[in-house]
Amino acid sequence: MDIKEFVEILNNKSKVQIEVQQHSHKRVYIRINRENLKHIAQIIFRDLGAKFSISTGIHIREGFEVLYHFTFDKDKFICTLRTLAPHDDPVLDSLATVIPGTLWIEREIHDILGVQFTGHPAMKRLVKSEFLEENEFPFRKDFNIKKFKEKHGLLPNSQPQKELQK
Amino acid sequence: MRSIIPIGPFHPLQDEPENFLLTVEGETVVDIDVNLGYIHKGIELLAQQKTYDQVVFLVERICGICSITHTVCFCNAVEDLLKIEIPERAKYIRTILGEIERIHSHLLWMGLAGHFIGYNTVFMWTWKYREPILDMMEILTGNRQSCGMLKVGGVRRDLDNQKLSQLLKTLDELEPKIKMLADAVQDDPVLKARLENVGTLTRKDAIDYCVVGPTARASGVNIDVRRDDPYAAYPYLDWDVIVLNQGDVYAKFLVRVLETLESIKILRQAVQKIPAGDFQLQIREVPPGEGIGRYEAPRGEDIHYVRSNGTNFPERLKVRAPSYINIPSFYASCINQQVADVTITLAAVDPCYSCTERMISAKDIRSNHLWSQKDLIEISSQKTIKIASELGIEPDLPILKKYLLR
Amino acid sequence: MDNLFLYVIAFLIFPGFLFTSSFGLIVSWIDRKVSALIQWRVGPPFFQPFYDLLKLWHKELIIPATAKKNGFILAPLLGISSVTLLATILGIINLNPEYQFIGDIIVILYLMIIPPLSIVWGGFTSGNPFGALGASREIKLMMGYELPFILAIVTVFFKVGSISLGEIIQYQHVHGVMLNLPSMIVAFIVSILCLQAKLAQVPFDISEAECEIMEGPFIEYSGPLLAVYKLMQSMLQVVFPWFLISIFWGGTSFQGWGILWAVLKYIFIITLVILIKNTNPRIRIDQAVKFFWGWVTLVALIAMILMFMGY
Repeated sequence: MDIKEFVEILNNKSKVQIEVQQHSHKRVYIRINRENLKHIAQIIFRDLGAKFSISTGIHIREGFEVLYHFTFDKDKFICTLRTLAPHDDPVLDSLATVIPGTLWIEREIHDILGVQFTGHPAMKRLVKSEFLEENEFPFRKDFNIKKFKEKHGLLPNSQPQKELQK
Repeated sequence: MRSIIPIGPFHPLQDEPENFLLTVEGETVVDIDVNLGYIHKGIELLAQQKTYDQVVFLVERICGICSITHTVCFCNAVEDLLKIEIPERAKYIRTILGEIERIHSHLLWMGLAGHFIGYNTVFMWTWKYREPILDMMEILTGNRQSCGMLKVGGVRRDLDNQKLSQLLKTLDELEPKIKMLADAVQDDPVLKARLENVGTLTRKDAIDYCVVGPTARASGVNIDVRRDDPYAAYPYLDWDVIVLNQGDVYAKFLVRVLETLESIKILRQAVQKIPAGDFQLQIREVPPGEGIGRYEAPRGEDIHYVRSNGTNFPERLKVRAPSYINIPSFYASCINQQVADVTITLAAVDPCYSCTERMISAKDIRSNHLWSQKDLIEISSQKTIKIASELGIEPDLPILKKYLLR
Repeated sequence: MDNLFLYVIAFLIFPGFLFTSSFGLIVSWIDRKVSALIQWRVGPPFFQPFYDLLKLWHKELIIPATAKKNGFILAPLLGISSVTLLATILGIINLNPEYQFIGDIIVILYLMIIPPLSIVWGGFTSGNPFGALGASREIKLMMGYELPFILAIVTVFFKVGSISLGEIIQYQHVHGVMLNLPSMIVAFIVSILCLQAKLAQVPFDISEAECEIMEGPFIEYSGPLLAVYKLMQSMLQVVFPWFLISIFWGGTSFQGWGILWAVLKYIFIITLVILIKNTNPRIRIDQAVKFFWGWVTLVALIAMILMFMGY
């Protein structure tokens, strides 16, 4: 199956509105509503036999965009599901029950962007350091690194270096 | 009686700080928990503050062993964003570098696997075989690891065709040794008893946990990015994907040994077929858009996602190294194992090490004089004294130097 | 009074502590050097084991808060004193086979169990999960190898008709060495395999597997106490092969060419041990116990049957 057939099958099976943007003959991006995420992921992973590769979380103007990259190894293309969790309600369905491979990446996106995943079995910190507080998320655009460093005394102390140069 | 055995953050098994908490009943593992992030370097955030040219060098430093992997993968992603095809010669050069890296990485793993099951002779021998390959890398690119050869749109420097024939000679010497190793692995009854039916990852678990690379191929999942999403010169070459069905550590060992032989096959063809011509494209600017790059690292599929906003800096770079997706499969493969087997099971997915080893010796080109460690320490401490006297400070040399220079 | 003084000399200097320990350290150098040559490495200089010991002796002794202090300190001392006693008895009887007492070989067999037991004791008292795991592995392994080992030794008892080491050696002086008989060769092979486990060498170094449980029982030991353990282990490398030589290979004499002959016998056994060590991976504890209770015990029984049939 090529990308055209894949989109047709997906349309027929899911019966929800999707917005397809084809980048090249082996990359396709599909925008979906967050309510349909679990449903569509199930179709792609279980019925169509794709492999989940990774998801990416990005902070954009409208909210937190989370991309799910699925690779179709036999058919040689990548399908990326594009979904949005708005600022005022950053919640998505967890895919961990459908795809165990998402266990870690959901924890990571929760760490760095603060997106909540409902239904995740063990939501605890994966990579976020202990001295970051619960409401501090380093990949948000409003995260001020300089302020953070000042607060924790991580800025390099400029005093000794000046002495050395004399 | 339940007790918790911690493996790591500092443990002879792990070269990298990772923490595994094994809950054991007697000698049997009933639960496992993984903690990581001890050396989180923040590379994804750092990449947003660097230009595309600088990011190439940054991703090269994600891992010492996979230095070619991450750079090629990032270049693939940006080239996918730009929708360009790189010159043929550059494709072949990338293939050659990538396969050399695969050989030395697999040999590294085999040695470590031998060490983990207490077979130090295998450990020393495979690492001995690995040396000429690393030396070859130095001859071709100028450095054993992190050679800085790649750029978006091709490669930074050309390879010398004469040196490539030297590569063929090294491969001829290496191949019988690897074949001997493959035979030894298949014949040794003790090794078989130790590795067979250990840490079995079933095909269903392999698909559910989305594992990649040799870990998946040993469980009967037929995937290989080199064939499934062709990049570089792989479509022009003739080679096989090694797939075994047992899913235990022994199968993983065998997959790696056989893949090393395949890599030698690929390298021979690539050296023969490499065309002359241009080896890089000039990239002027990167338009807004997004691109995904894939690469078959020695440990499995590596994937980079790049989003550009039209400026010189990437808006977002997402790096997924193969170990990241392979390690959660421990939840499936380690439960109900013996403690003695867990160590090799943990090691069997080849968790990526961020370190390189190197003997200290340098050659003075003018006088053809081999400098020893003593000489280098001498030079280094003289420089320290010089800088210190310029600054007017008393040089503070380590006491160790006193013993070494005696 | 004079006799007592001689015994003290025998215990402390020759063939007791000083001789066995220095010879053991030399053997551990041979072990490291040969292993290095097999593995394409250079290997340590001759005095390296002595340097290591000296360095450990100067290091700080740390007793963990969770450890039972008395047992933790006593365990290595018990081990080394039992090995010294073992070496003394073996040496005196080898020097002068007349110097025996009834059932001395039973004493020797019991003394040979004490060093592993001291390791177990040290492991359990250290209060570390790795130590406890290593100690429990050591116990399982002991249960595994003791049975075939005793069977192999008992074969010799029946052949000679005595349980005294001196008489066994004298018997061999008269009737030729035990290894001339096929049944005894089989028993010797069995005891070499048990020797490998008793010396805690690969493939039976399960109790201290450094990649799995980080040296197991020794994990909390440091400084002088660790030095005592290391010394004990290198002394064991002398004493156990010596015992096998006495039982199976006509003992050792310290006169004229006898010394050279004794050294050659010893080197043969220790080379076998080193070769087995370097050509095998470490096996699991359940595999090891199965191996000893299955194949090795079977072979030991075959040796005994062969012996009764007169071979």
